[in-house]
Amino acid sequence: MSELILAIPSKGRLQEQAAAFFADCGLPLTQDGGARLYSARIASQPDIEVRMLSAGEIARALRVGDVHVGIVGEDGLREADDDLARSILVKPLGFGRADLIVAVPQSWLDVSSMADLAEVAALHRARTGERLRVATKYLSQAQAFLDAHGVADYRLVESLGATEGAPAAGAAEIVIDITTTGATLAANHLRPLRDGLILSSQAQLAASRAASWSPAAHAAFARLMDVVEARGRAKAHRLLRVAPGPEGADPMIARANELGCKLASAAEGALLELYCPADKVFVVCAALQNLFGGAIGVFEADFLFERPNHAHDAFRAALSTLS
Amino acid sequence: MNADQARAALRTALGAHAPVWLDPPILQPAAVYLELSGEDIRRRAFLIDDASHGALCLRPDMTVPVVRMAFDQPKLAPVVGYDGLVFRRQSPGSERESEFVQVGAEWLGDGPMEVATEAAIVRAALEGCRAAGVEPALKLGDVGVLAGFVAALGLEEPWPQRVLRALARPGGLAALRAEKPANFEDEGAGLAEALAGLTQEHAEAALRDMLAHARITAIGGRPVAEIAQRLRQRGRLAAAAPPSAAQYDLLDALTHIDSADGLERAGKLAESKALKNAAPAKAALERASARMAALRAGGALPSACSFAPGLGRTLAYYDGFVFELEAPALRERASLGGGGRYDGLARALWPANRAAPKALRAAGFALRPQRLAEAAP
Repeated sequence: MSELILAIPSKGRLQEQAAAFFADCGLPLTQDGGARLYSARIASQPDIEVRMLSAGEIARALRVGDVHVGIVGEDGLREADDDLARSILVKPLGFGRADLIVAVPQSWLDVSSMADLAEVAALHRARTGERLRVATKYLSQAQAFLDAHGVADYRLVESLGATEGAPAAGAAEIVIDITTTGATLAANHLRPLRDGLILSSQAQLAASRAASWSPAAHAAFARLMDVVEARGRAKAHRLLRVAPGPEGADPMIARANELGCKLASAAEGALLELYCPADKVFVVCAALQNLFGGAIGVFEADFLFERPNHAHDAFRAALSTLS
Repeated sequence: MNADQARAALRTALGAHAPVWLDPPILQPAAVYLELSGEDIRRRAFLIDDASHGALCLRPDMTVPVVRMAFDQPKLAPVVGYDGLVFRRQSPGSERESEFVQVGAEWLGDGPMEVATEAAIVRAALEGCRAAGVEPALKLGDVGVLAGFVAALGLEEPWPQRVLRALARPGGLAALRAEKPANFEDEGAGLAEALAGLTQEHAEAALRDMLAHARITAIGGRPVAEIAQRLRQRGRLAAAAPPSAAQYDLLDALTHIDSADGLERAGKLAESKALKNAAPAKAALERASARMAALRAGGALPSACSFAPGLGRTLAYYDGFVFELEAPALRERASLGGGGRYDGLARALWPANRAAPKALRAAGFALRPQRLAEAAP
């Protein structure tokens, strides 16, 4: 019996990236064969059942509580779950980046801001008697953003396929869509508005408020998060092995602490071990060598376990407060 | 008095004014509301997607279906009454009703409407409440007063339009005031200033050339003429002075008036030095005062009566006088009904395949018998 159900994307680039993420954490997914093609397991985490679902299905499953946690694009989750009423963003994963933006035809040289768009929509309605049509898959976020920016004279046209093509096809005047490089927009004679960024989205490890969180489910998720956080922390740090100088370890520890390092171990007569933020390694090494010019070795750790687990604690706190 | 008795009393009271009663279908095409009220209607109304009929909605009000039906009759009745259920989505936890009865009447016709008629409409609504045993609080407003003050500021285009649009949404005026002025480094600002110096014809030709050279395909259905015109206007906007701090303060003060002496207070504001040409503001206030005088002369004014020039400005529905009847004791559900003048909405509802009257006029109100019954002592 699985205590915790984890949903991951079943196809496309997001599936590859999610699988790579777990493999990198030392939690490789092994897919069940045969009839259970769309489920998988993680060998070291027997309490977790992995379900492979389409991205849209994961957002829905989180909203209704069919799964406890899932990997999902923030854009899709916000759309399926209005204002994240029934889900919690636990950890941004750094992949699947895309911006949800407002884009207008390139030929609209007089429109560079949302304020311009509000005026042009009013003009459009006055001239044609109809509201400006906005093609989008993201109905609720589009409406909230347009309303907040005082664009009143618009109408949403739900697009299911290639949204960017809608203006050229005459099905809409402007679009609200996701973009990564902007190349598709440009190919469709569109450009984003200066202040038209609705959401800077990326893949998130998200949890459902609606799922039944038994103590065992919490324990399983805590174990998973310990590994995920330990891996993330290991990648962000380097282990320094430092020969203490004649004045002992204390002045070196003090200096390293000032520079944001953490002491791992300091046994009498042994090498001093420090964890150092990866982006400060050279600064710290130089500073320590200035105190005493002994040898310093720099190592990568596979995992760096540490309590408390802030990401998991924040999730527990969010779950216990009403949305 | 229970809700059924209140409903019957309202029908009798309004029957004296409305010889024709209409009973439109509960299911209405959603497109009509989407065009009139925008996407917000998705939050406020129950929408139904039907493969064979397109999107439908449970009517969220009676006015729109009744006016559409009245316009479909061979001869336009001057006053139509109605009595039926309407349906509104409410946010979870709200005390407001998602299904309730509206009894009301709409005055429709061609040509100007006298303030005496407008006063008679408010009086008919007051009579309705009293027939149901309730003495309501009356809050009066006039969207025309706000428009008159904006005209009186003496701003250069496009500022008057921008200010009016800002006033039409909650918090809009503060947002406009906080907006940074257009800067020469802004995208398109240089082009705008260059085109502002040309005639419309030359600006349009220059823009066409530019689009061709840059190989930009014009899509999105806007004529190049309009783009050129807006760019020129934007160039002038950089030149045209925005409203002064005193003018913003004046509009802010105006929209916050809501008191028994509201007309006098607005009258004092009309004397402000922040107005370049007070005439349009004074003309609008004169009309509002004449209406109030007509109401007072009829002896119909309740003791709790206030004038609030900001009332109804965010509804995008009314374009003249507007009023609300309230039972403050009901708190979140205090509104017993209301109404006002809506010529623009009526024009939008006139069937496209028939010649519209020259000067379509429309005003009316709807009351809620269930709340009247609750408010009755």
